[in-house]
Amino acid sequence: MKPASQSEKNLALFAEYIKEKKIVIVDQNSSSRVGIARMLSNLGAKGPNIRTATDYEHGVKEIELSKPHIVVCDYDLGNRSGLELIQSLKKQSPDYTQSLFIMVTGNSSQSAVSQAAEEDVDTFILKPYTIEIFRQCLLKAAMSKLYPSDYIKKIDEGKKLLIDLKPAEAKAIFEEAKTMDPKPALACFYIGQAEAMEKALEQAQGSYSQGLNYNKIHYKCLTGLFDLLMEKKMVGDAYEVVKRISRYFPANPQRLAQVLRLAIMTKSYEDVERYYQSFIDLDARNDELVRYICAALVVCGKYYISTNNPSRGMELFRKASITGTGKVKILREIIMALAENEMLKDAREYLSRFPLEIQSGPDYQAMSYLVGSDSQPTTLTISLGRELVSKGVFDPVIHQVLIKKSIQEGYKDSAEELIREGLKKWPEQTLMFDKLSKLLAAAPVKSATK
Amino acid sequence: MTNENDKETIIDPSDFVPIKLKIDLINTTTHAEIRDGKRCYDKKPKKDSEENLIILIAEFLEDGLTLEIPSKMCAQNHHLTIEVRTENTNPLISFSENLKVKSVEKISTDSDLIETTFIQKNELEWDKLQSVYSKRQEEIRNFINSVKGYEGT
Repeated sequence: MKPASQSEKNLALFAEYIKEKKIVIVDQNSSSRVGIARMLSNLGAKGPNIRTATDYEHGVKEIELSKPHIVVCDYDLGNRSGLELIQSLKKQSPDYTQSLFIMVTGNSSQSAVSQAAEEDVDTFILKPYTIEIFRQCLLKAAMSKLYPSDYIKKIDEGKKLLIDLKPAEAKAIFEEAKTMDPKPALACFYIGQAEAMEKALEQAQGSYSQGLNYNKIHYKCLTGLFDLLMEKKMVGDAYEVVKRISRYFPANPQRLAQVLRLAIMTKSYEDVERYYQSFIDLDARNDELVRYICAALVVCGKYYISTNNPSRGMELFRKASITGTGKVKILREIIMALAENEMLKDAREYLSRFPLEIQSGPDYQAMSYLVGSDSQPTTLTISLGRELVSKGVFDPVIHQVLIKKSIQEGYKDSAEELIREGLKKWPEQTLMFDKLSKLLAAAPVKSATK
Repeated sequence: MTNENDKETIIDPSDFVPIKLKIDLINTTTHAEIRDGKRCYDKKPKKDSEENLIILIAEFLEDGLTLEIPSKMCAQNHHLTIEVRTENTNPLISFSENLKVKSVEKISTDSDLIETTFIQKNELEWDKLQSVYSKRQEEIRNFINSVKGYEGT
């Protein structure tokens, strides 16, 4: 009899492994559910142990109900991502480290792949697949989970010590692990973690960087380094790292928000404009990303206007208002920036962009009041402002204008009262009201306060 | 510190685009067709046809394909012509193939899963198409291994 080959041995081991395992398949596509179930069955899974779900919600329910060892899911599950199911599996699986999370999807985009990699999926199988590719991917993922290499076993040993808050002992184990792999980026990451735990931040930074020398896209080293640089308030370096992460791991709105925030903090305004150019080429833009990019454009626009480059600033405002059509917060920020720079004609133009259904609301009334405030007699502005407040239209901008105009007209008591009221209503605007207090204190005393 | 990477952007639209396939199907036995997502008969769109009907390759088989197709499109032993073209690969791939329906399985009210065999396989074109997927699968495997930092997938 011919001796069994390695792949036959692996198949036999896998069949032994899978025969008692509970499996949940989540896929909107019926042919996929049927095909994957059939394939797993052929590999040794028992029919009654395989459950299927057609969408995310049913997937969560099935995972809760059957507490599976293996989850196979598609990336796209309607409005949700199959990756979100990994959290359900972590919660419900009796021993998550032994569970398999398999993505089988027709979404071959780098964005989907990198998100799956970030979430630590065990394997990512592309549809349409051949039976052979499916089998190979599955076996490899299962074998590496069931029979980890000595390197991974050593790292797991160190991780337990880290969890027990023994960083020095853990570090010694990770140093040992480092000698067991030609590209030990993962060991470097955990050495960095142990050092960070010991507050040896310089050394931790060195360890993460060393890990990245072995493997420039090692996700854990990249994010470890970024967190560390942020902790050290090294904003410029953190920005470089987060840009690198975003290049390799696209489509994470939270990270893009970090990138944009750091671009603003490091005054990399040209970068923001470049990001916008790429952003408009995207087919799918989620609301979160739209919000972040609009906010960044407005901040850049304000910068250009305040540094005597109004045409460039206006161009960015225009882009922000088009991208964030109907987003009141964006329009407000633009109008306020224009009013502050006495560009009232332009501010009026943005006022007309408020959606019709909002034009009777407090935001519109406040902005309209702000825009009109300098083109009419001060006394009229004051009386209109008081009228709005008495009608219950409360907005810090109305208070701000009223206070300024009251100071201008010498109504010091009234201004003081408005400042007190504003601070109480909008404590988050303390800075603005403090400035107004200083303005009030510096105002010349008139013969009589009104 | 400046380097070449600084010129790159963090948002690369191509990162968000999967491999796109366009598939039309002609049942040469009945002359029914699915073309541009609509049912047609003798090349003319049916007036009451549903919109955006989808044909999916579920599996590449050794001597055929498993396809998910709109229901009531074919029966066992019918002959089909499948026209496949990629929309965003370089180079673009476009070809047609004749298939015979081996089995039909109803998997939902709207769709059937059919197993087909090639009547005469256009090896070269199929290899090109399959290699688009196998190449991407390999890239994905390498990427995930690199991200993890060890051989996992």
